[in-house]
Amino acid sequence: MALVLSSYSYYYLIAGIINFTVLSFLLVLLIIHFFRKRTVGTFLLIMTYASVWINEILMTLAFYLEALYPGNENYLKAAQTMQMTGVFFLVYTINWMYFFANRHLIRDNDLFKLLYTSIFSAFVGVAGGLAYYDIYTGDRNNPFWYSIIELAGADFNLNYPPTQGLRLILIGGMFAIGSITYLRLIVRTTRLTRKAKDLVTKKGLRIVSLSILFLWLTGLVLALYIFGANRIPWLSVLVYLFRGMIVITAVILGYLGWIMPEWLRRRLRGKAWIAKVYTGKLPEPPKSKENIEKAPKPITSPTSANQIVEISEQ
Amino acid sequence: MSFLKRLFRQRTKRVTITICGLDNAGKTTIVRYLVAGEYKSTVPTMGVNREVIDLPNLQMDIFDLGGQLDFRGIWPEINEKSDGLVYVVDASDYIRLDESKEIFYNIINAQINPLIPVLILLNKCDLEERLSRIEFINAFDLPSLGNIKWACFVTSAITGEGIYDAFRWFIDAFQE
Repeated sequence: MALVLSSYSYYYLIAGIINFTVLSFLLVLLIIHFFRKRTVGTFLLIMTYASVWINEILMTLAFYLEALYPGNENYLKAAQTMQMTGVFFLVYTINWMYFFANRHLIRDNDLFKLLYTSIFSAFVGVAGGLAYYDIYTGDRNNPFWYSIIELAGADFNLNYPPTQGLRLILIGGMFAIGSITYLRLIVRTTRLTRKAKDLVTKKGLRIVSLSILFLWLTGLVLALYIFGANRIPWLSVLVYLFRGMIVITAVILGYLGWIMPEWLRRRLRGKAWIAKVYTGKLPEPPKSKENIEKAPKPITSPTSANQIVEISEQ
Repeated sequence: MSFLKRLFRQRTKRVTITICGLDNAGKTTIVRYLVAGEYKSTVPTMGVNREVIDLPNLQMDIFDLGGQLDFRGIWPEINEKSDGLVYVVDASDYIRLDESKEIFYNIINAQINPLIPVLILLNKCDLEERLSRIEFINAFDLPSLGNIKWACFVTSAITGEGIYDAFRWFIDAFQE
């Protein structure tokens, strides 16, 4: 089977593979960290970024299916299902991030958390259910519960929740909940950054707030397609590449900020005080009169305590 | 071959250090002083805190072990792999001195490699009511340690007194 693709398609496919590889690597790092710590917080963070990763893999696979089997109705439906599932996984990162942040940044009561996740899941569930129904029973040329965004110059399309009419409420609701959540987390992190006295905590929180901002931007950049970025081939590719970079940056920053690997912590902290004194960059602190200039040599033969004291006195 | 060996030789020596002692002895405050160079308030250590300090040709991986009774069970496992022991004693805590001594000898006799250097810190020397170094050495019967390479320093993690000298001895012991 000869694979003849338009030149623009390659950009999407290669970008998809790169995104998938980088995200897989970061996810493995997170999983290793989880097995070391075994904390609920790390698990929730894994779920957050695993959702992003699943979206990436499903979207790329869908592109490949559409590109490799053009005109095959079954593969097309499978690709559309994959894409829609990916989109809803991406949307669901908001919920995971909210629960993760509830352990470290915010303290919402159980009732609020319950209502939040119920309403949010209802939006995702209803939007997803209707989209799947339409993919398998509806008219592909005139979709009602999902929309097809044609990527100019590419051999595949983007599938998205409905972007027209009253159906916009579905995506609008999810977007509103996501935006409020992320904004709240960014504001809270910024406040905590101001309050933090420890330099490492301060810088760590700054990285965290940036990671949340980038996670939010992931959705915003995708929204550019709704406003017509898909109609110009190069712009469409550029937006897709930009989105990929934002996703990767969000996950890298999230990993660095939340997990704070030892090497980064040391880098942010700078050289330890003792290292600075040892290398002569800082003056030596006051000595205790009771401490001798040099500690006694290792004692190899039985000596009385008084003798040690004598050595010390000397 | 020797060129390759030299090329890939680890130039920085990595050592694992454990800091033990009774709860409230000032272990974490000492570690934080080593890093920040000033007094930083701490909360009781739950489990183990880890801190890595880079020095020229030496990287100290410090395990600050929680001193409360509940956490002492994890000490042997970490102490077994340790390249150096720091034992912190609260100089003002006369009441628990015997308990501290018992724990110290338990570590020395059963948990660590007898060849590693042992640094004993008589902390909180900024307080008025406290043991002197001489009294402490007698009370702890340190000369009975035999072949173990040890040193005892009076320190204060609030004023920083003696901390550098103590760890300088420790660093020199590793550099040897």
